[in-house]
Amino acid sequence: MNNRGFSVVELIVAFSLATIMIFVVSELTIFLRAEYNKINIRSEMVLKQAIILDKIAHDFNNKQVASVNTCGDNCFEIDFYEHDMKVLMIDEEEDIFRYGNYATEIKEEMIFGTIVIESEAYGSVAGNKIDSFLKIRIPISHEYDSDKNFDVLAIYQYNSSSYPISF
Amino acid sequence: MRKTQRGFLLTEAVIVITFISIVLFYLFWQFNNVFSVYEKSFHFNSVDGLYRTSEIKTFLLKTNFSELIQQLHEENIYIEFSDCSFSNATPFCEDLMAKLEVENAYFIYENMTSFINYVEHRQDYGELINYLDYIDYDRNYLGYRLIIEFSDGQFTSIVFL
Repeated sequence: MNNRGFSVVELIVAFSLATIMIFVVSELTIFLRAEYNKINIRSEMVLKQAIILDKIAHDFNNKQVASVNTCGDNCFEIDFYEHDMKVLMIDEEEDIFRYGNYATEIKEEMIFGTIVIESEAYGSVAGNKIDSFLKIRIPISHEYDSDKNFDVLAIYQYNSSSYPISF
Repeated sequence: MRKTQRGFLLTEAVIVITFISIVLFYLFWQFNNVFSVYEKSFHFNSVDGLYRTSEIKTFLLKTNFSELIQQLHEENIYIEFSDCSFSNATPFCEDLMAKLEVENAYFIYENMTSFINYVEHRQDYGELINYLDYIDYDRNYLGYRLIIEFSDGQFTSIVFL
């Protein structure tokens, strides 16, 4: 009689263990899934940020900017002294970001803010080859990862007397 | 004798609980390691941070690089120049640092041994210690290195070849 079935104590112990196990494993799964999603989003956003930055920085490092003009909402024409012109714009109707020939889709959860272009000139500084800079900021964030921004910040340093920029 | 053959013993239960706890703890610890490494990749040497650091390097090379080297030789271990005190183009430098969101800027020797020793013995360098532990450096190279801490907590560094 004593060897048959489970006692109440055994059942309580078994159920308690099972409950704790289920709780811990489910918490772990939820945590891992959230982290995995966050990392996926960040990877995608960082990649997008890096490509956009690379395209702009490549031009800034290899060419001289001649002028920056607006061409509508969130649209700028950047002219270079090398007889080249690139349009930097966010096409809100088609949800596409464009810079020159490069275009990338802005997915529903991605947030592209207003492009800000600022120019700072300090006049000639004795002995220095650069005295001014142009700053482009493209605010980028993601709806599901609001605690991190993926803004593209590009700086173009130049000598205002050798290559003045009309802005 | 019959009593000892009945159901679970306390010892058996403790063993099972311990085993399961160890397995779960090990799993959590392993995943946490993976995530913390991944988190570091977003904060240490990110593409955006490297680009901003390269802009500071460009500025230094085109303006005050020789002064900075001279000052480093005098100071011996490192120079913190985020306040642009070394520069004869101070307003430009200050604005550039602000626009690039620089919190701290260190100019050091590529052989970072003395800088690491210096930082390790102080409490006020925070995450910088972890970053120094993260990067590799060449003890035999006689060049210089720029380490930048940004206001969003990112760290990046570039070597001057």
